[in-house]
Amino acid sequence: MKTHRPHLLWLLLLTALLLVTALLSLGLGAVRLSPGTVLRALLRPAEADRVVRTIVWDLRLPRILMGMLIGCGLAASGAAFQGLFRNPLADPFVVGASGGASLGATLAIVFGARWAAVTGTALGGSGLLALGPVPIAAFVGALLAVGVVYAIAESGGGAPVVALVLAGTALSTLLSGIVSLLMTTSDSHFQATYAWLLGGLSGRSWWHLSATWPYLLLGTLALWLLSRPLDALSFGEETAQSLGLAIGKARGLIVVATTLTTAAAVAAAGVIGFVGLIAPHVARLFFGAAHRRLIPASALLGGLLVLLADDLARTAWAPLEVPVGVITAVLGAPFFLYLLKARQKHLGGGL
Amino acid sequence: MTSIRGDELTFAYNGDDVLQRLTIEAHPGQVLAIIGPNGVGKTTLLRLLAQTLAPREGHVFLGERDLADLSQRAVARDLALAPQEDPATSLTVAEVVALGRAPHRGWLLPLNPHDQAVIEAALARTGLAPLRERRVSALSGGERRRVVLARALCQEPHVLLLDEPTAYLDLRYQTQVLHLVADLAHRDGLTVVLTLHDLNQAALYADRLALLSDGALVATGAPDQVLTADNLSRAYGLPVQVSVHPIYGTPLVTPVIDTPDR
Repeated sequence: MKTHRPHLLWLLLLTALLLVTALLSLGLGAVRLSPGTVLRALLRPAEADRVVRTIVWDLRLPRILMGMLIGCGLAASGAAFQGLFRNPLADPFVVGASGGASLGATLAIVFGARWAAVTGTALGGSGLLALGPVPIAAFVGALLAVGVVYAIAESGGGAPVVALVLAGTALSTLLSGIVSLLMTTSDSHFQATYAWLLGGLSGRSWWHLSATWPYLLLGTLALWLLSRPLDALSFGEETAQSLGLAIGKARGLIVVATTLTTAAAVAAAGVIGFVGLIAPHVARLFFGAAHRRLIPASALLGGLLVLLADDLARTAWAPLEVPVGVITAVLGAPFFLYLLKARQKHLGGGL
Repeated sequence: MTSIRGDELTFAYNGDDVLQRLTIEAHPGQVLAIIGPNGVGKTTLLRLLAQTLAPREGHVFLGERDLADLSQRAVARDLALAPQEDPATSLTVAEVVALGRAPHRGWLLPLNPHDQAVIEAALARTGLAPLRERRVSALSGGERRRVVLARALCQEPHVLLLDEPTAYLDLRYQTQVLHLVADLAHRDGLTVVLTLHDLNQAALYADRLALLSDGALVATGAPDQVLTADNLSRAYGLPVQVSVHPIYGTPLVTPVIDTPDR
C-alpha cells in the first residue's frame, strides 16, 4: 500500500540517527574522542592506540549498547502495555513491572550476597551484581506485580484508566517500600544496591550485556511479532475474540514478553522510568497506531532516548555521574503529568 | 451457506437468569431481527450466538457443528460479529478493516493479494474506499459503524451477526446500512441476525422477527405474525396499535399516546 514506503523511510532514518548518536556518544566522556577516531577504533581495533581501544571497546561500547538495548526493550514494552491495557498512560513503570522487577532483583542480590557470605561461593559474575539469578528473580517479581495490577484494573470496571494508574502507583510504592526496607536492613550492600536501583549504566561491561541482551532482543522481537493481536486487542475483548483471537493465549504471550523485557532491563541497569511512556507517544505521532510500525519505531526512539539521557548523565556534571534513571525521571514525569491532564476530559472527572 | 441455531440456551448474569432455555434459528438468505424492550437480553443472545459469551446451558450450532467444539479462529472464519463498539482508534480505516482477515490469514503471516482484494471489496461495498487512509478516530459516528461492518465483511462470513447496526446513524445511513444488510442476505445468501430497536424498520427489512421478553421468546415468525398489538403491548408494557404501512404494506406500529388534548 502507498503509505508504507514513507514509513519505511522514516524507520531507516531513525535507525541511522540512532547509529550516528551512538557513534558520537562513544566519543563523549572524560577522554573526548573524535567520531573519526572512534570509527577507526571500531573498524580496525588492531591498528588503534591501545588506550583508545580500551576506552572505546571495553569501557564505552558495552555501556552504549546496553543503554540502546534497554531503551529499545522498555519502549517496545511500553507500546505493548499501552495496547494491552488500552491505556495511553501504561508503561513498564506505571503498571508495576519495574517495581516488581526491582524487588525481585533486590531480593536476589541481598540473599545472593548472604548466601555467598555463608557458603563462601559467589553466584558468579563480578562484584555486587551476581547477575545469574538476578534477571530470573526480576522476571518473577515483574510478572507477579503486573498480574496484581492487571487484576485490579480489570475488576475496576467503570474507569479502568484511573484504576490502572492508581493500582500501579499504590503497588509500586509498596514495592519500593519493601526494597528500601531490605536495603536498610542489609547494611553492607546499601550503597551499591541504591545506586543500581536509581538506574545507572555506569560500569556496565560486556559481561552485563551478555547476561541480558538475549532477553531484551527476543522480548522486543516477540512483541513485534504480536503486533496484529495487539491491534485487535486495542478494540477490546469482544471484538478481538470475534476476530478469532484466542484472547487468553495472546494476552499471556504479550505479558510474558513485556515483563521479560522489562525485567532484563531492570536487572541490567535498575529502574529507568518513563522511556516506555514517552517513546511510544512520540512514535505514534509519526508512525500511527498500527503496532507493526509502532513497536519498531518506539524501540528505535527508546534506544535514542536512553542514549541521549545517558550522555547527559555522564557529561553534564562531570566528573560526577548522575544515574540515567534520574534524568529520565526528571524529564519524563512532567511529560506523564501533561498526558494525564490531556486525558482528563476522557476520564470524565473520574478522580 | 450455513444456518445458525441456538438450542435451549440459558445464561445467567450475577445469579439472575437473563435467558432461559431459549431456542432460536436463522437460515441462509434471510434476515432475522431480534426485537424486544431494553435490557431483555438481545445483545446477550447475540453474544451467545457469536460465542464471545459461553452459555451456562445449551449449545449453538453452526450448520451441523457445535460451536463449543470449534476454536475461536475456526468460528471466526464462518461467523462474524459486528458489535456495538465505537472504535475510537487512531488506526486507519484500511488497517482496521484488514484485521477481518486474521481468521483466514492468521496473526503472523502477511496479507496476500487475495486478502487485499477482499479488503478492497469490503471497503467498496460499505462506501469507505475514499476514507481508507483516514484515522478512524477522525470519522463520524456513522462512518465508524460502517468500518465495523466492513471489518466483519472482510471475514467472508457465512453468518453475520450485527448488534444495533443502526445506532447513532441518521436516517440516510440507517437506510443504507439496512439495505446493505438485506442485500447480503438476499443476494449473497448470508445468514443475517441483527438486533434492532425500531420495530417499523424491523418490519421493513427483516424476513423473520424474534420478539424477546423476560428472557424468553414471545413470538417468532414473519413480521405480520410477530408484530401484533397483543404481542407488543405485553412485551413493552404499553398499549400499541398496529396498522398497515400505507406504502409497503408491512405492519406499522404506533404506540397509543394518552394525551388529554385529543
